[in-house]
Amino acid sequence: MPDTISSNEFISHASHELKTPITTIKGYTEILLKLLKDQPKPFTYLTRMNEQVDRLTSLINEILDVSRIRSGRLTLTKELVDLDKLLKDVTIWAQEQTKHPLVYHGGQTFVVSGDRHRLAQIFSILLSNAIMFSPDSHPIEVTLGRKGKHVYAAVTDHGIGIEKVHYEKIFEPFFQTDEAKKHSQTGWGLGLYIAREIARRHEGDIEVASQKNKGSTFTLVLPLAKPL
Amino acid sequence: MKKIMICDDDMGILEVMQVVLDDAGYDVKIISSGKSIKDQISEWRPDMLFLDIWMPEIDGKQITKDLKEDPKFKLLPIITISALNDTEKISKEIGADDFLAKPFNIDDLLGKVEKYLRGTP
Repeated sequence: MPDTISSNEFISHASHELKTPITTIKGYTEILLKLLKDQPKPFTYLTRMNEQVDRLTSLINEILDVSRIRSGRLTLTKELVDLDKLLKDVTIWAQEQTKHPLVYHGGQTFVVSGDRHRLAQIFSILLSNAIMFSPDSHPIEVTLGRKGKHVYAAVTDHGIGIEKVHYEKIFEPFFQTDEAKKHSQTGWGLGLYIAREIARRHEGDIEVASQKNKGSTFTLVLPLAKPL
Repeated sequence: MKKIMICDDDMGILEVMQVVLDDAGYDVKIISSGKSIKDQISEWRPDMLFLDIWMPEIDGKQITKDLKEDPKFKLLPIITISALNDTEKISKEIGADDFLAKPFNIDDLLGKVEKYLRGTP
């Protein structure tokens, strides 16, 4: 490998090489899951293995995203996106992964100019965090609305909450509060950084309001698309 | 029996895809290089092709373009398989019919096959 290779190129190349064996491991794990579906213990262990393989993939994707953001190479494929439909779809997908009741308050069409996959990624990060830091039975609410020329999408949980002194720090890469570290088995402090950077590349932002031990609301604010 | 050809330079991926598609009742042929792929397609006549984009000898992007420009092969469904960052974008640019991003689920793989072969092995 030449000495002049950038860290971004290195990460991109390394992630490609890592994903190749992960594909094979995941394939055989899923084959075994189907073969052993009637044997509770092996099935449980294989399910754990498969979850960890998926986690490894997520970690690689997060490293790639941070590398792209830092090198200014996060490319957006913008189109007109109905945020109501997108948010509804992500909420349905998230509900399939959790026992927390997810309640969606929307139903009105709000169109933004954005990258559909990247906007879905923001909601996925906000919902995953809300689920991770909330007690099981507590509902998580998702609200979509309009404020002047902007649309807002708020994800509210009734979890551990965040002290005001940490409101900005939680968007820094690798920062996690001590409380968050105790509750999170899988997070490592990159999700909110990535989410905010994507929001800002859409001329938007993510705001936080929280009360310790009562819960948090993370609000994505985006400019509405100009009428054609 | 419907025929599926898979071309990838990684033997591990070829083998695991073959196990899944064999079990699902398809006739599967795996090849680890795209060098003589046109000859192999002409000879074996697959119903669909899974093709790795990034291979050392011949680029999967070029293979896709060549096949789609050739009247003999242009109707063959080509599904690119890749761990590259922008698999979907690249797949559209080169004219492939669809894509599968590594790592993929077995259900995603079978879903693509059903989509293009209408679920009949």
